[in-house]
Amino acid sequence: MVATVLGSGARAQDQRTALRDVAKKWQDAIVSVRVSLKVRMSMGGREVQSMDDTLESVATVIDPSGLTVMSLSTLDPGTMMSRFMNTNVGGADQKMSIASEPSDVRMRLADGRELPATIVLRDQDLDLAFIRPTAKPGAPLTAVNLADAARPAILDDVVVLSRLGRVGGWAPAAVLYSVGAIMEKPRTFFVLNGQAGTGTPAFLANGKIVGLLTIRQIDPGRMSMFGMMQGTEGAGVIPVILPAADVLEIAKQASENR
Amino acid sequence: MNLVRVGLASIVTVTLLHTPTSAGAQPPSPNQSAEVELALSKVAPSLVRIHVVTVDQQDGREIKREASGSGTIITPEGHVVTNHHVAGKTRSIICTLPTREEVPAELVGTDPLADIAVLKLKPSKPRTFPVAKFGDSSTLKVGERVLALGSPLALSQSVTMGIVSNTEMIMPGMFWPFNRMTLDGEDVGSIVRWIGHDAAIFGGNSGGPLVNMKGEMVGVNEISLGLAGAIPADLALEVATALMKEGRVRRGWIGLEVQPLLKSSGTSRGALVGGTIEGSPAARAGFVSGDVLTKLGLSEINVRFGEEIPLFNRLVMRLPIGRPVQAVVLRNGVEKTLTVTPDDRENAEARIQELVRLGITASNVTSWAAKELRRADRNGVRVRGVRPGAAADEAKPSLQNDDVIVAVNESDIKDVTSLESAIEGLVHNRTEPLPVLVTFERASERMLTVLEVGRPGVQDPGMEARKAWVAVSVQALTREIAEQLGIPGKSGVRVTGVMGGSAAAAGLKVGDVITAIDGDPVQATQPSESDVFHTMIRQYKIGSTVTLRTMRGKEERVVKLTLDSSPRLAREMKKYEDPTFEFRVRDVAEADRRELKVPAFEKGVLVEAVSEGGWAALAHLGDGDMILAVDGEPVTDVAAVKGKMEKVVAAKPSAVVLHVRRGIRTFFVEMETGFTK
Repeated sequence: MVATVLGSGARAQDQRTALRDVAKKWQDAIVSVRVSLKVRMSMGGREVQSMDDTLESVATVIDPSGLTVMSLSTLDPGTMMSRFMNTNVGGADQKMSIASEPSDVRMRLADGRELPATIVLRDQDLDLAFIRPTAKPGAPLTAVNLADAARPAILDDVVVLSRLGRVGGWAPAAVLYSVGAIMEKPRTFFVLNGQAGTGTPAFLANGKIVGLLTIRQIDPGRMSMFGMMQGTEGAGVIPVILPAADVLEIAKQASENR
Repeated sequence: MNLVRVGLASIVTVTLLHTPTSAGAQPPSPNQSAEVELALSKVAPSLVRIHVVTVDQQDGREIKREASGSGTIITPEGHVVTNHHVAGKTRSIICTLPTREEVPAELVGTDPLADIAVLKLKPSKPRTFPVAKFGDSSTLKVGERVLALGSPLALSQSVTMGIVSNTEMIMPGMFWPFNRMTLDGEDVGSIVRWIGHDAAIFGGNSGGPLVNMKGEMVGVNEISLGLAGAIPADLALEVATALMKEGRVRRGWIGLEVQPLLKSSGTSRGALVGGTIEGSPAARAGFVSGDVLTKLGLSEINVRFGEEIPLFNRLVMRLPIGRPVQAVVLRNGVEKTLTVTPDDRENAEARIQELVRLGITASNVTSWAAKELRRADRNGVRVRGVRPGAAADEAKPSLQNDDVIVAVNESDIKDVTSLESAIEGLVHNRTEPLPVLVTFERASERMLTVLEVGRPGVQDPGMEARKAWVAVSVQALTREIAEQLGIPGKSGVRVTGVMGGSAAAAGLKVGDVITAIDGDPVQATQPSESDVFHTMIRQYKIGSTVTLRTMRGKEERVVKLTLDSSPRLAREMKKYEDPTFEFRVRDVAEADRRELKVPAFEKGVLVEAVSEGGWAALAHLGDGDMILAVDGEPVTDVAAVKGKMEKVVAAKPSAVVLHVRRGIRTFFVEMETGFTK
């Protein structure tokens, strides 16, 4: 955003047009995923509550065969919640655990078709889940090309593609951000200025893909009493863009898990 | 005012379960003690503690819970009177006698309107039981001493003493809308005027006897409004007798809604007719709102106060079913005689059942429900709950509470039984989900939806991505630790555990500090950076060789090792979910053994989840428990557990015994099965 303001009006307009073209080109690769979950909460090893829940999130088709990638934390939010909730507790008898087990996964394509899907691979380390339609789609799906990637510089504009949910009629969405930070350790991640959803791709104005928005979570250690005031950082969580090449590398294993 | 309302609501709700009443009377004198002892000797031998597994419904699923109450043996054959809310909706009942014997029991009949249920003890050998005698509750006087017997808080049989505070206690109207105690849709206060007393009762006293000083049961303890409240013995006896005779209470019903005379009416006799239920005998007889009913059959009617409503309702319910009775009303000051023929009164709510294949709880349509839902007949199945994510929920449109299913694949559905058999007929021997066309009525609309019946349950969660891995656990080498170790300025990770694999083969040891991988420094100086090492390793391909620069003490070393593949996670282990007892187990992963410190020779399966409200949860099986044996047979993997549990279901025993490890302890878990032979 800062870059947009500082740039000349005409150049900014050109860039906006380019980003709009990028959004238009790939919007059909952004799909909605509806996940039915069995959520079980335990304390000290004893289940205290269980419930069924349904979540809707966004994912990105990365192969015309239907291979799709999303953020694992939206498919299995229990694991992340468990780590967060156990930050401040004492003995084993107080340990909370939340397990979320997907019982049904359905992809909703841009044209409104619903396809039952199967989870083929998870990567907790990188917060990735790969899903694939249970039955082969009749025609190739629009898929982003992870191989056509580029590395952004700090303050570069990126457009993050998304899709609204049921209330929004599943309309395609695009939001403009700039790169606010680049992490190099323990691996490369790009951090946006502003909160973006996960499971969605980020592109540069030149049409190159930057990567996929996921969650990076570390053990935050013992959180201070006011840890929550530090936002997600205090809970050991930060939204990041995982470089496309890293997604592609893991996607190879997903392809092998046919 | 709000405070008062909330207070009463919680009291009414909680009192059925756990709330103590106010303190009891003064300690008795020696003479009184003898009198108490004598009274107790007549009732205490027939007092039972009732342990039940109750069933409830929540979000389209049946939930089982343990509960406890009290009861009194009223026949030598072992009939026990208690509350409907104690034992009316149960999957198993065990009664503990004063001798501490545990005797199973079965439900003979239950009546939510009076909150009375009757059980029958089922001893292993025929025997007779000591019986408590009913007293005449109509002769009770305010101030008379009474004893409350029972098993408060599920403890052993106990007694408290107090006095009768009120012989016609009702829920005060000023607490509207919380002045009703409703059980299964029945307003208990519509026929019960409680005996109010100040003998302390707690949760667990429910169903226990209120006893006079003659040792007679004059009431059945039920509620607390601060004062305790007992159902009068005359009503309890009448209902219990009907339940023992027919398993239900036949009551007359005319559908007449009466209320106390309005203060402004100037009328001093009769009962004001507020209205009639559409299509009811009273409506057919010609009663209209505003009539003042002065006589019904041979009885003069006077309802001037709320306390008189239960008496009127009981009068109506005692009318002979199907036999015309004359009623006299004042309409605009003119007497008019009407003839009304009572119908057989049906319970407000039908039994709710779980239909697992559809993912709903449902009930038949009662007459009351048909009226409330404005339906012309009682055909169909009323949806009472929808399980999120199950077939009915995923249907488009989803089914909702109070939808009435009237057809499946265009075949008419009459009731829950016909719906169950229709679905079973369709999915029998099928392994694939089957789309079923369901016709249902929602309010005034007749709608269609398609349910995918037989959808698979928990699916394969997907494999975990395999990454390059070194079988060590590490901590970040903070600046402070580096200084204390005599290697200031170094960054890296310190090995805290070696789990085998190429790390052990290469000679890595606990205490080694890894400072670089293939020349790239391991830059970890904060505790939160301990994952830097493994993250760097994960960038490599499985099977590639790396060179680690390490330090052992102050000595620099170089270690070459071939990267292993990350081990299979616990989540990837084979699983088995038992649908009958509602627990899930998985094979034990190496990581589990390390974490739980389970020796390699000990075989078993790990409990991953125990569903709240299932049999396993009731037996207190917990997540993380390791099942070593089922009914004495060792189980080494989930396949063995599956086979064993299938045999259990076929044999239908009353209990299954699991041998379980929890931490350093082993013990046995006896799991009820709910099977009845």
